[in-house]
Amino acid sequence: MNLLYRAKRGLLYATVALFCFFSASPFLWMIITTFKQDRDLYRSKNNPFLFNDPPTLDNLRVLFFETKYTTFLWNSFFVGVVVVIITLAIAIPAAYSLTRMSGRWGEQAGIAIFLVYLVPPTLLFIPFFRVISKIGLVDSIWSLVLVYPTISVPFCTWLLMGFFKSIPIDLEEAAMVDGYSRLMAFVKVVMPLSVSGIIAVIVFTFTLTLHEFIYALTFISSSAHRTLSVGVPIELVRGDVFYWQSLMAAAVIVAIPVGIVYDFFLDHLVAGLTMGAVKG
Amino acid sequence: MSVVEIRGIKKHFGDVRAVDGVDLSVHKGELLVLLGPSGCGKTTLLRMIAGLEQPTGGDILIGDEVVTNLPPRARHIAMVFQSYALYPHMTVFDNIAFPLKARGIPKEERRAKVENAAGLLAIESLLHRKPRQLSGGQRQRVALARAMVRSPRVMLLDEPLSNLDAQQRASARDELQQFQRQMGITTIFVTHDQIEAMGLGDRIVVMHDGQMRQVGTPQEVYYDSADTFVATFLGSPGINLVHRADYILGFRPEHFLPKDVLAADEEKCVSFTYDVTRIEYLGADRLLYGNLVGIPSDVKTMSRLPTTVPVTVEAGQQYEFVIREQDLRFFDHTTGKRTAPREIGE
Amino acid sequence: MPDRMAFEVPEKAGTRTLADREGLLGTLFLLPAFVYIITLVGIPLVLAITYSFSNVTAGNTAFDFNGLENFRLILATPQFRRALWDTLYFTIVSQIIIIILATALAELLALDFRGKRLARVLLILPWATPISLGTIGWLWLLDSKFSPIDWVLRAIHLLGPGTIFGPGLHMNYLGKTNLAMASVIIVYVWRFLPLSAVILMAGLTSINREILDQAAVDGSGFWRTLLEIKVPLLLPIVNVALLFGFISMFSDMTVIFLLTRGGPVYYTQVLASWAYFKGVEGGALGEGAATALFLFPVLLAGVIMVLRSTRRMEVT
Repeated sequence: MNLLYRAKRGLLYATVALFCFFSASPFLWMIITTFKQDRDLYRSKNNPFLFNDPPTLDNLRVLFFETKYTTFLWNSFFVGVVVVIITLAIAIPAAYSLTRMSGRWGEQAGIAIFLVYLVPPTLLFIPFFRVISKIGLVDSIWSLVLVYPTISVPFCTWLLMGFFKSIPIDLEEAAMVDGYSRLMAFVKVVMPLSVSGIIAVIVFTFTLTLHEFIYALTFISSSAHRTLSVGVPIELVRGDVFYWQSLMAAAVIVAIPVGIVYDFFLDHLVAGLTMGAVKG
Repeated sequence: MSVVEIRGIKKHFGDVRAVDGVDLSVHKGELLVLLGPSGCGKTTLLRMIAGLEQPTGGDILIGDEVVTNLPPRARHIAMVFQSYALYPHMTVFDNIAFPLKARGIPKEERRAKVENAAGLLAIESLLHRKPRQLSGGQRQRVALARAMVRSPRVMLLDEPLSNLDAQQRASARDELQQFQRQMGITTIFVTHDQIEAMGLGDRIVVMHDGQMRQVGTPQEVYYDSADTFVATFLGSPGINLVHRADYILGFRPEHFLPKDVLAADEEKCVSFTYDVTRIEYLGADRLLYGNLVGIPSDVKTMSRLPTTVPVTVEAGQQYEFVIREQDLRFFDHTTGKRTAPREIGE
Repeated sequence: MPDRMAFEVPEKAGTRTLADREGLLGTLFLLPAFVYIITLVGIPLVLAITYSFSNVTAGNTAFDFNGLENFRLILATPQFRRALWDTLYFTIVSQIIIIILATALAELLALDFRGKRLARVLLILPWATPISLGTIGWLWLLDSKFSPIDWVLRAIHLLGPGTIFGPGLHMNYLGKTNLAMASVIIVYVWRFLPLSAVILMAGLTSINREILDQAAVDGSGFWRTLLEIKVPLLLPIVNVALLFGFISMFSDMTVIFLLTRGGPVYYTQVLASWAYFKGVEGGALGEGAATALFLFPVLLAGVIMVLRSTRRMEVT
């Protein structure tokens, strides 16, 4: 019995370790590469997992001081923050309206909005490309600010609808009886109770802008206006020369913090993705 | 003097007539109970008084002012919800202070009023807790404190006891009534529980299908029910209804007793041969199920016989049971409305 | 007798204002979202369809309808046919692998074990990383000369002269058609597995504990419970996971664009990347739009699927 139990636990840990290895090995490889010297890296006889030459921080210095990496970081941050603000301003009222103020068709409209989320950028980037050139936003990060909410607003509206639905309507009515208007009942009672939903929306929207590739590739042409997702793979490669150490450092510096933040909000994001079919 | 007056109020949801023409006036300081089965429109009526629901027709007056088109915040009312609707993100103190804040009352005055209210309801020690740390009874007190702290013209209660277990409910009912009497707040209380209604109400409004069936004191609605609906809805078990040729005869189980028990009294009685089929022992009472011999009926006729009455009754036997004539009620066999007493032909 | 006067508060006269009118507020609240979506999703979508029936190019402002000409043109090119086939192939094969692995992973993560939190972070890392940066990592991992996988294969004598993978010292993963296709699928599985796994995990934890206990009492073992109880109950959630996987993978061009650029030759091209190369780099907007439009039937199927599964969820 005890032996069987141990065998089962052993199998469990082995399987989990295998999955973790599959997921994490590219990152491990990225981290090792980051600290390698050229001589060590480009000799195929060397064991690639060991530091045959002493590790170096020089690649990070190159990344931060000799490339546009900090510009990409700033551009991504700026676009992310502005898009988050726009998304919150549009999605919070829309979600509240659809859950509480629109009666029976609110639910239908909610599903319709969710379906908009399923329209991929791949279908729209060509017409957008032309529209963006027409209105003179080509090669401006404002083109991304304009377009990214088309992805974030539908999803976040849906996500917030789930949150608002979970707040008992009694609370808003009590606030109205207690002396507040319909609007203020929403502001004073519903908003404070939806803080975790609003944070989930911020996380989702921000990472969405960080991840997006097609629009960023199509609309932006000069390296000064690139964001991380396109800037790193396109601009850090000079001609055909890949600066692998800096490239890997650039990727891993973004990946690990985002991964940890994601883990915190996993349940909220999943609740949104499963359309409330699963209670998060 | 009426604090709330309702004139021909109607609420239709599509084809459903949730409230269909109700006229009612609520006197100052009384506790009025709206009683009825679920779906009878009692909660809709209460929500229209609160301003949470717009009526389809009719008018509502609070303190001689027409408030039909005013939002809830302008009606100077308080409401205690079934769930108590305590704001989960605020402490008990902030919950009670919330309506005062909404009225822009300065901080010091707010504190004094909240502490005063908390003192009255003996919840001073809970002021810094969050609602989720409170028991059901404590929540009710916080909700009441929040309701009374702004001195409302009328307090509306929507089934506030239904979330409590049976034991808490009895003491909460007692507390609620004491509190209401002390403060003299005009109160409208919605419930589907007739025991709650009988125990609490100064007057009871019995509702059914969006209409008012009867308004009266608990004694009036129980002993002098206006129709068969009110008569059967009140009482547990409800009234016995015996369909005769052109009328319905009604009598309550506690008035339907063995001949020996009532024979001592010299009053006029009507007697039936009662075929007892089953007996339930309920401690204080025995509940008899049976048929009246010679009178076909699909429902059993019931008798409630106190255990203190020294009569032996056994299932499967026939006995002579009687009812005092003054306890007989007569209803029209088509409308179900109460009619004048008549001679009973065997 | 308590003093009621202690609770008197000044009564403010209030009238119905804009902030009290639910219907109007509801409309005002919804308006920005509505306008935004109509202008920035509705109009481009219509434009996308219009372009595909016109000869519009990046430089040319003229805009003539040419009927089905674009579709005829793109269907005639072998690149497009290959891209259409590859898109379906990559998506379906990866999704099958993903759903199987995700079910296993969800089952594992439903158990309690030490270090679960760390495992969870590691497992969702591929999903949290910008897809382009993750792909760049794989590009280096699969490098034609310096791939550490090659080194490991050589170290255990599977690669090199006289071994089964053979005389060369490098596998050249992205340079041979079959290996390149397999690489693309592995990257897709790596990237989209976490998403499906967490969705399924959420579904698994939402199954009523009592139903599983009932199954155990009824004598159902691990496999029977999994196949006859859990999987059917999970089906709506599996649909959701599949839907997200399909749509994000079907319309993705990042992996192909960075990993193989469609190569070797054009054998790993997908619709999305081909639409980009044709429409944006090649400047033939009409043909690009027509190519992207081939995604539409599949998306429509996805939409129908989600509507049906939501309806089913309402029933249960």
